[in-house]
Amino acid sequence: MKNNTFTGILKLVIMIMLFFIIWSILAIISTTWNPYGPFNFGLPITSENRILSQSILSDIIASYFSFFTISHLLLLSLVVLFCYFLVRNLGKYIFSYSPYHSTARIFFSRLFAFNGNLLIDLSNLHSPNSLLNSHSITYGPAQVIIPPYSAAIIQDKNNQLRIITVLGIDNNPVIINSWEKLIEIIDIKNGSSSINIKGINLPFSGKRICLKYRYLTDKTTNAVNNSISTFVKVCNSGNYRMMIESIIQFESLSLLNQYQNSLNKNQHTAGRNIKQVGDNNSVRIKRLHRQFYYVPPKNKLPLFLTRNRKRHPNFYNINNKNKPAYNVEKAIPQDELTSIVHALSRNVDRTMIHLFGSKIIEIVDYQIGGKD
Amino acid sequence: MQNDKTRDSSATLTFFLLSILLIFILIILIFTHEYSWLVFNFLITFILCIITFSFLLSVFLPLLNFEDKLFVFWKSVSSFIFGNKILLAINNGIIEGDYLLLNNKPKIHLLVVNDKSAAVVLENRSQTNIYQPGFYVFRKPITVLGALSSELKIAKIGPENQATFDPKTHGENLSDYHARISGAEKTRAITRDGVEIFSLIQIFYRIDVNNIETEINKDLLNLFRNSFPISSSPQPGIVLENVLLEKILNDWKRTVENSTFKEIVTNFPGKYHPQKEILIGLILEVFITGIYQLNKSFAGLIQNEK
Repeated sequence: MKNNTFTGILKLVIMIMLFFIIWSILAIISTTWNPYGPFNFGLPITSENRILSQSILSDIIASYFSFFTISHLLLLSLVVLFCYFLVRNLGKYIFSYSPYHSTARIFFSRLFAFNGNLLIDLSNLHSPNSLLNSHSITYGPAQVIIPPYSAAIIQDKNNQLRIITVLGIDNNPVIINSWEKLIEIIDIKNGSSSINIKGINLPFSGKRICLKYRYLTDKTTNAVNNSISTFVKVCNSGNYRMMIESIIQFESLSLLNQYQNSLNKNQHTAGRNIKQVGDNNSVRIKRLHRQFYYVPPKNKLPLFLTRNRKRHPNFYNINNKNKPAYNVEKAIPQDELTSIVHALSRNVDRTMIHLFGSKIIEIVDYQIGGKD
Repeated sequence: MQNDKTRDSSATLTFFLLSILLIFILIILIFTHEYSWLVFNFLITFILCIITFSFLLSVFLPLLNFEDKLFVFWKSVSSFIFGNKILLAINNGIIEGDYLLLNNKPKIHLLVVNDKSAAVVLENRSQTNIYQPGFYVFRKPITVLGALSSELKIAKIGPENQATFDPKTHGENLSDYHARISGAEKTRAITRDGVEIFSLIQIFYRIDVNNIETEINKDLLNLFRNSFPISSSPQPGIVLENVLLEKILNDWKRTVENSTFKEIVTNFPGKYHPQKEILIGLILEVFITGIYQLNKSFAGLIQNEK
């Protein structure tokens, strides 16, 4: 940032010097060729008794402020100003609307690469709103305070991305240099997704599987950068967390269904025994299973399911001594559950890479149990 | 770039002052018979304009070459003087303004495609291309057929739950009721053994705008071009998405019609793989998350009937 400031000051000095050089050239033209002839009136410095230095000074001033010099300097300024307005109009289309910057501000901050004293507080950015949709794209140079547990994705002029993650409450602002823009802020809090496995004829039926995941955005290698660039193109920060959780849930359902099918095939003979073992209660459970199978949104059950559960409190009670024979949770070895979760993790990775272009989450833990 | 109504007043004032001053200088030079200075003045002003514009434009677009800058300058000045539109911007997969509704579309030479968008462009009256985010300069005018969003989206088709089929309640709006029923009806299909089912289909999809050279995208472009004249919608991209989703739905219905009820409830809920020809220009994952029947008090996956 210090280098940027120095460059900015240097550029400004060079431009001021250039202005004086052009002014001087015009003054020389005015004195030497005098194209305006009698119309080239200057400042009225006509004292007769002048010393040499006064005479030279008055001549210089007269040539610098002659009508020719001033008119051409004005012409030059108007040309620059007109071109600036044309470019600014183009800039309005090139840069998305931002409440923090006018096109003129972006122009001058880029031209002189001035250090951004502009402090933008986005710590209260509502998570459902995308940065792009909320018209809060921030162009550098600026300093931005981003919400805790989030990642700021910054793009430079060569469209390369860099990611800055804030893993805790941190009031240090993220510095966006000149020519850069903050294109997205994504929420990277560790998350969990619960899958209700009621209604599926699995040994652990009636329980929940809670999968905990974390985001893989804290790596900044080039390989990750490439995958992140695809992710940023397709990610809508407003709903991508919901999408990820939905994908985990649907993949889990798909896998559990496949698992159950394979179990049913293996236990085809045992299935006959189940019917024989099943008493009145198991028949009732069978009928209730027909009631509904539904993936509850956000771990919330539909009302009629709740109603059914109230009517039949023993329905999901797997410890009930009258439970059906296929509800044999204790018989399931832990490594089998682990292998299911590992398979799920692989499936989720595959889907994420297909949809988002990169593996962005990692399932880190799971928990089975807990009645709904 | 801008029309008469939106022309920048600061630029107009500057242009007016510049013209007055230039005329004034030229009159003086004519009076003083300095004709060589007169020509020189014109040339210098013109060259200065180009150099200044080129320098200032490089502040916004550093990677643009000089020839393109010259072209942009020429078009910007003509646009300023004649008030015609030469630039079109696309944000979030939506074309700004009323461009698509215009009968006589302006000749577009400059195209700005912002993040998470792509533009479908007709060049030379026959060639259709997809342009990704960036600033583009076209020497020959182009027609923008539409804009696409590259964002991943989720579409949910079908009944949310069994209550979707309930009769109209007292407090329910008639249009809401019809929307509820018609949404569910979309997925109505009859299995090979004659069972009528409704499915809840969740589709994660995005339009693949990255690999423009693939056959898949050529198909997408053809589809886009064919659907363009008939779509009076201001955003054909949305129309296109609906067309593609409709194809997935029809593919699922065909699968249901070729399967027995038992096969359906055995294989789903789960991931559904549509036919390859459905995947034109799309990256998608389809999940069937619920199977429903109308005349029963249950819905969804009927596990115990396997």
